[in-house]
Amino acid sequence: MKLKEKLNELKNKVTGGEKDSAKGHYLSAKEIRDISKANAKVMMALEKKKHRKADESEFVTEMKDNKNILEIENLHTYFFTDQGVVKAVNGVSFNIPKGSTVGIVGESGCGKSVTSMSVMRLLQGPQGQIYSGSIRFKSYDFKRDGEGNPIPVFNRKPNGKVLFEALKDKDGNAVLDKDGKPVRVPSQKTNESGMLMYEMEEKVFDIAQMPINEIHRIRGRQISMIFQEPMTSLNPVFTIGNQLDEVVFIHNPGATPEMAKRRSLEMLELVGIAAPERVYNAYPHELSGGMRQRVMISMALACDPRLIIADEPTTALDVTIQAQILDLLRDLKDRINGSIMLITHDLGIIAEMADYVVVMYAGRVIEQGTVSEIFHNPLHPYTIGLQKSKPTMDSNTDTLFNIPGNVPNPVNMPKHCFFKERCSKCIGKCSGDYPGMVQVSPTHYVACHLYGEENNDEN
Amino acid sequence: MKTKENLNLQSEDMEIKVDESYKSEPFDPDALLEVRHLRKCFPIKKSFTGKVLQELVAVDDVSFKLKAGETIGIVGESGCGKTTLGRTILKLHEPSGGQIIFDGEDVTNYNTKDMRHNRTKMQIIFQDPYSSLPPRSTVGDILSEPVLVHNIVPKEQVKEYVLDLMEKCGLRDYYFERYPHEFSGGQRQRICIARALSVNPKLVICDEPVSALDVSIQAQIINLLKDLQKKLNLTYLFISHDLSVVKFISDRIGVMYLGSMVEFGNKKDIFSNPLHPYTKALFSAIPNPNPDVKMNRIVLNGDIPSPANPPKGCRFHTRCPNATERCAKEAPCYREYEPEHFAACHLLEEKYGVK
Repeated sequence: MKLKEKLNELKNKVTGGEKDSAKGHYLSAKEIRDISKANAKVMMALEKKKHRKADESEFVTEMKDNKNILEIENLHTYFFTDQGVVKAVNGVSFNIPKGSTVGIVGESGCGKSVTSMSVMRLLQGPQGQIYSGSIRFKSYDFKRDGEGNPIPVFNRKPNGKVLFEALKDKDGNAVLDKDGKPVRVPSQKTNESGMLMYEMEEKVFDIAQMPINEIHRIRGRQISMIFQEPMTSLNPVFTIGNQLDEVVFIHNPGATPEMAKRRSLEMLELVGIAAPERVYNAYPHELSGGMRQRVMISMALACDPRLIIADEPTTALDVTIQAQILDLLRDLKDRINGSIMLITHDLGIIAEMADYVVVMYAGRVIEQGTVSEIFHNPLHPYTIGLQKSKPTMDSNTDTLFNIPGNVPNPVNMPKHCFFKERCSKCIGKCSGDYPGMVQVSPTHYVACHLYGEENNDEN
Repeated sequence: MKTKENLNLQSEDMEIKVDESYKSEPFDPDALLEVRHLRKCFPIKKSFTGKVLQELVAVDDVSFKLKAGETIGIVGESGCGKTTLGRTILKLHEPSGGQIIFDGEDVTNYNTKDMRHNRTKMQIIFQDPYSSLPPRSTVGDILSEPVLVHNIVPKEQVKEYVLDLMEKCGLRDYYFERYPHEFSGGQRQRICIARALSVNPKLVICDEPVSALDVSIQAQIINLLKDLQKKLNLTYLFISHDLSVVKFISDRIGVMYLGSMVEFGNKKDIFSNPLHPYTKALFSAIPNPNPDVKMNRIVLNGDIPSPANPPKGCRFHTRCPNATERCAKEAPCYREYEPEHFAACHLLEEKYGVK
């Protein structure tokens, strides 16, 4: 008996306990070499695909549900590091319906920011790559002629003929041709904010399949992003006006400096900046945190985006300023008739802002549903724990509920449910495969064995 | 060179010199820590000869008492001076005025050498566990050093003592040989807590101990702090910008704005009956994790003014929804309006009929 116990103890010392957990950390030089060699091959192939020249037909697809503006299906985004492949986003699927706010919650390292970076195609290459999956986005793009140039909309006479006007140079003088006659060009229509109009069409793009040099058709113009750190996301050596104008120039062919300035001031006014002219000429360091975040938002809105990705827009701000910015975002969403993908770790913000909630854990979606479903009827033990562990203003408990342990190491994820080690409601099945998504109600999905088909009767 | 600032400064200095009668008052025997009219200024402009031309008043006239075994929470936005207050109490910053009475001693004018024996009684837990641990020392070294320096236990028993301490703070014994980079944020914060407790302090100043952590880890650390308080009879000064956390852990709460305390009282009183308009706005600004509750939010306009150039009169008048003409001229008095409930606001004087 005694010998057996001793043997077990020794075995535990070698394999179990501390050593096991440490094993993931320490790799020999040879192992690292092998990993990086294998990674290099995959990365090269993916980089080649990213920089290929492709015909538009390769990445134009159809939406599954026409109500959605964005559909993410089975997205895998990996980081190829020398320690192994980090599956930062590991099979994420969710939709953003048009005109709604979708909140993504999760702790740091759960892949919520990487999901948004994948949508924007801003991943740090060559390590960060979209490995597989599709991101379908309903874009409202310029209609293009055979050479790929946008087709302008012209002012027309009542009889349908195109209206012509004299071409003018910078000083407003008419340009003359060889014979001394003024040059006449077709006059292009402008919209209410003075921007030139082009013919538009609705197209569905698969962002994950798009070559990187085509992505500017979407990024910045139709999907724009508000970053977490307003302090570091603005360029310190250019004025606010300079940076705002740039957005307008890049995304509006044929825009003149006057048009750009007019648009920029309009945007600054829209986000509630009292003295837009002063801010236009200011440098970022002259503004406070809340003002900088407003500038960031105005920059994101400059091209009338259909989808705004707000990546922790208020985390770096104070509570009272946060309240201002959240009010502003809610107000703006209705005004520009867009959709918002709101990434945050604060459940309070989600409850206030979002229509739908996606809860992520360790690179996967574990629960999704409407905001009232998630807050009144949370099903996944992690969602329940997350809600209980945050002290609220009305709660009167003595000790906080806490989820034991930490998020597992992103390299070498286990095969079973990632939450198993921290879960208090584990059943025998949890040691098996990763649980699939179970539909609880038309909009409510959960990935947990407790709600599998066989268990439905018990629950 | 007499600049405008210079003149202002002199007049302010005069005011402080006049009112120093509080220094001769007897100490409160119940209080572990008594802070009287504490003031901390940082020079931001100096002349060629080193004379201070302009200064930033980070903490201005803050007074409170902290009884043994209780927790006081200090809330406020960034730049309101809550961290400076904590550090000045520990004498990590030299106070510019006022009095700090700790454990029956006036420590205001103690130098580093005098403070040394007090260091075992007062400790601090810093905000960022990633930058407050030395990367080249093992956990064992980090925790043993203060024990050895202050001779808490005989040398032979140090390791045993440290292991016992690690167990109390929820750290496994084999972490003794590990380095800080091998730990996650929550574990590191546990090491920081263990380090602070290694010298058996009476007062622990927690400077945003959970702000850098994830929600699920936050709950672990808050529960640990509460447990340790019960077990070791600790007194906390808990500094945070997160009102819900402060509400959970504190017995009494002080709200700071631009360097001065605007409201102070028992947790119940402050939450059920906030007196100061800033406190009301601050409470209403917190997002409620219940989608059905639609809050009547008081949204404050504008940003916090720069503390280097604070507005005259009441410092909150530029953003206050109920500000009157008087608020722009006169600074309000910090008074006890209800039993054990202090506030500084002109509007309250009218409401409570105080002259």
